Amino acid sequence: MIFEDLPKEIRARFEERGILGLKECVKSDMLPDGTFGILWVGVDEEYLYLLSGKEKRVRRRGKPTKTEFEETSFDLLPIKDLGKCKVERYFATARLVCEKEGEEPRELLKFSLGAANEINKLLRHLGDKRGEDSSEGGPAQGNRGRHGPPPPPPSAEKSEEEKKAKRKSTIRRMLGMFKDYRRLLIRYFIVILISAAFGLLSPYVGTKVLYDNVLQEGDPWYGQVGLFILMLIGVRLISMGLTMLERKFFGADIAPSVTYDLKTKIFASLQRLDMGFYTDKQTGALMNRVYDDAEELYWFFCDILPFCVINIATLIGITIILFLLNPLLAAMVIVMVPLMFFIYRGLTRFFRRMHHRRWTYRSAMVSQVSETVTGQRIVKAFAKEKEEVDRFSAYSDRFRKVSLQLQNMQATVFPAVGLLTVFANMAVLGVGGTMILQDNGFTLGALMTFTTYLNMLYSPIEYIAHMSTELMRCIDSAERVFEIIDTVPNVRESDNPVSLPRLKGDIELKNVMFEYEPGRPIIKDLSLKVNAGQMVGIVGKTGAGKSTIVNLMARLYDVKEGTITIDGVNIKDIAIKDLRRNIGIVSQEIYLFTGTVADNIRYARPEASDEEVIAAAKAAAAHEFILKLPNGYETRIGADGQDLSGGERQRVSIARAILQNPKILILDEATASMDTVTERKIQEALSALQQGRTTVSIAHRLSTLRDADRLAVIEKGDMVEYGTHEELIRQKGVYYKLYMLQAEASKQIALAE
Amino acid sequence: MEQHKEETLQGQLHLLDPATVTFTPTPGGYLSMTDGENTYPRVKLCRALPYYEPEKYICVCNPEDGTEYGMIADLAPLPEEQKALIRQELSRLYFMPTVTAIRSAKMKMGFMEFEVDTDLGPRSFRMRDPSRNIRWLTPALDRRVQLTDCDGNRYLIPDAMALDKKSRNKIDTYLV
Ligand SMILES: Nc1ncnc2c1ncn2[C@@H]1O[C@H](COP(=O)(O)OP(=O)(O)OP(=O)(O)O)[C@@H](O)[C@H]1O
Ligand SMILES: [Mg+2]
Repeated sequence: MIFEDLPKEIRARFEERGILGLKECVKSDMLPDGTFGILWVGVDEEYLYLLSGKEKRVRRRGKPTKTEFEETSFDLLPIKDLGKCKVERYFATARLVCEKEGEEPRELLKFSLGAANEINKLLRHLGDKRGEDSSEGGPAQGNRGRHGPPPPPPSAEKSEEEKKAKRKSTIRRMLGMFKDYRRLLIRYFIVILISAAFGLLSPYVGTKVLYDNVLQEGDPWYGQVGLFILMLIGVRLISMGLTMLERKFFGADIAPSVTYDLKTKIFASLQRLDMGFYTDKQTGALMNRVYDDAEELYWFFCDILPFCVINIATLIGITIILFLLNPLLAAMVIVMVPLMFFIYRGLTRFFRRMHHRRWTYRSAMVSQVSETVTGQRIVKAFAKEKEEVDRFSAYSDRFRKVSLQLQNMQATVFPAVGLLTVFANMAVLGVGGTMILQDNGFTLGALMTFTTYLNMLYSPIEYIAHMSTELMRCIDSAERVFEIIDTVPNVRESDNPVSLPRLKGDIELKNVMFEYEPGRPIIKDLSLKVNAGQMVGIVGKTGAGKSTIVNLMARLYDVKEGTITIDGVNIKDIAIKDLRRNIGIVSQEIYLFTGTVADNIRYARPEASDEEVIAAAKAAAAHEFILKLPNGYETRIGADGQDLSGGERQRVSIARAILQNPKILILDEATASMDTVTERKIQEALSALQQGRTTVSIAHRLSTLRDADRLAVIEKGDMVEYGTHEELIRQKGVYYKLYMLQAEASKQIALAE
Repeated sequence: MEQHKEETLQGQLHLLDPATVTFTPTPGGYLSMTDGENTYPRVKLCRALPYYEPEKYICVCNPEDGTEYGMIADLAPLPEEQKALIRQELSRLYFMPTVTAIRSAKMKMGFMEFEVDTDLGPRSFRMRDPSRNIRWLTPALDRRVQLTDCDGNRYLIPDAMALDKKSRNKIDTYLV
């Protein structure tokens, strides 16, 4: 946060100490003694300020609770004494330490992981920027321009107030999805209301008219039983017709269109998001549920909302009729309504908890089944069938117990509540009967009608009570759905993208730093140049960050610091479409879509002809094995009883990349699961196709990289060696050792043969 | 045959001999280790089984790149002051707030909003998807429950059964 945006009371604390401007000020959540609290950390040109305190909640009548800051200490540290600052992550917390040349790191502050993003913003100002020291003579003295530090990346985080405002509007947005269907909706509501009215009319006709007119001597309707029955049938038929009409309007016209729109929107926004979103653990979980959520919304609109409207209308209608029939009795009954409402609501909540528990137990049981089915190979290999059965029966027993408990509860609680309604009816009959006997104009028909309506009153109350919890669930779902729709991807096309339909293929990484999680840099200050048309091999230990480097080149993630340029243009400025078209990746984790082999190869270029597909497969040495499949190129992967071996999958995915014909080809362990003969064949085909193509190839097996023009050795996110094979051998460094090791192995094999 | 396999597996461990290792605190609050001839000016400790065997299988690593220097199989044979030193360092690294009571836990707009008391004072946080983020460390094996909030902070309930009833009811449905 910049100084001007700080909460007023915090700003005042700085100002009263004569600090009138800060370059950055962030809020952290732990005090120096390691307890929770509030710590405002600010930096300016010379000092780091630590303002710690506790937040006190002040509850005020009628107004939202306010939090007040209660200061406990204030500290300042000269920046030039700090040295290099960095974040140390622990198991559940982290801390910011500074390390001076030749000295041990010293703790500046502690924070919980939630504050990591904030602290990272601070780091930019604490002499942690690379490359700047030389040009400006140290960040501490450098007299930067007004906009010296780069603005923090516009991330998805928002302030608390914004979030609240967003939540309020969720309901409005949910309803907003129906905007295009307004006319249909109005018609629909009219139909609903008429239908509810007819539903209300039928007991009146069925009971009141029967007792007080048809069966009443002296009434003009007396004895007209046939006519009465016809009328009754008429009312019923009309109300049924209306119900059907309303089903058609909503169930068939409106709701499916809205949910279709919604699902398409969700899917489209999922495609838009960057890789970081997908690998982030929390959002990953979020995504799994998004389709369930869309379904939930569907039910809300199709089922809950219309019935809710009907029920509210019915409730009001019945209340009016009851008052018309007999105000005194009605008043007596109405007292009961809120009571019933709360009882039902309590019950709904209670049973929802029970159901939820049953559901969790059930899903634990089901996932245990599916786990053993997919892992059957392992289960058999380790002869663990018996243990798996035991594990299952434990889960299943727990599920059985809770189901039984739930059923018992249901069997006792609902009749008990039913008893309540019986009491209400008795009371009405008692009071009503007395009234009839006293003969003050209240008729038997009216009393019978009254009790009929009274019994009709319970179900809308129950429904509405149930609804209120259901509505909360739907809002939850809608929240999550909108959250996905609204997420701004971190990897975004720049506002003025440079169009580069045909790249040359020069790639340059300059002082690149990257981390998946704050405080754990994976790539540290890496510079690397790949000339167009060259093949560069990357070697290094597992986990060194090789895949990460190529992911950065393809802009699946954005670098945290430094730049990556292709043909001299920053990749952040290149139109994403051009970038993707010109960079082909055969990644380490191969993913084949369900579909035929041909579909999979053609994925990159759907318009490719059959000949091209086959030619690509040939170049990838996949042709022969594909022909052996039951349906050749039309074999469905995963279906047709056909699964491919690891090496076969790799070849399909190489064919995919060859067909794409990109200017830059990235091979991440692309031939690792193949025997060396097949690998050699692919390499020959590739190098024939490689004219003018830049290739970056990652391999553990050095023989894979024998054609490489340059080799880069990566260790723990740094490039330790770079050069041709001969140069690196002469250097007698890491590469040399690796090479000798592998050469040794092959020599031994040669000897053995 | 079996015997042979056991031995080679044991050989993998690089156990440190409790008789030859000594840890000394550095001025900056870190630890250094000497093992016979070798001295390591700064080491990082790491539990292999942080919850179930907090005092066993403690790996001693290079703080920069994480390569392992060796492993202490058990703290027990070490002298008391060494034990205290190691424990102190471990408790700093593995520090996790302990929840003593749950004041409120309400589902609000897709998040579960918690207000809890911890050993470090009151704290409120928001949690996404409670059925995943409130969980037993190991169902049926012990009573520890871990809460993970939407920032990835973790909180430990040392014994879910020992919580007061009101607190427990708030998380009960999510404990599978
Ligand atoms: N999505 C991610 N989130 C967090 N950390 C990650 C992620 N992907 C990779 N890492 C970490 O980054 C480091 C480097 O990973 P990377 O995949 O680049 O290694 P690599 O050199 O390709 O290894 P290998 O040879 O095994 O493929 C590893 O320590 C890994 O744990
Ligand atoms: Mg890799």
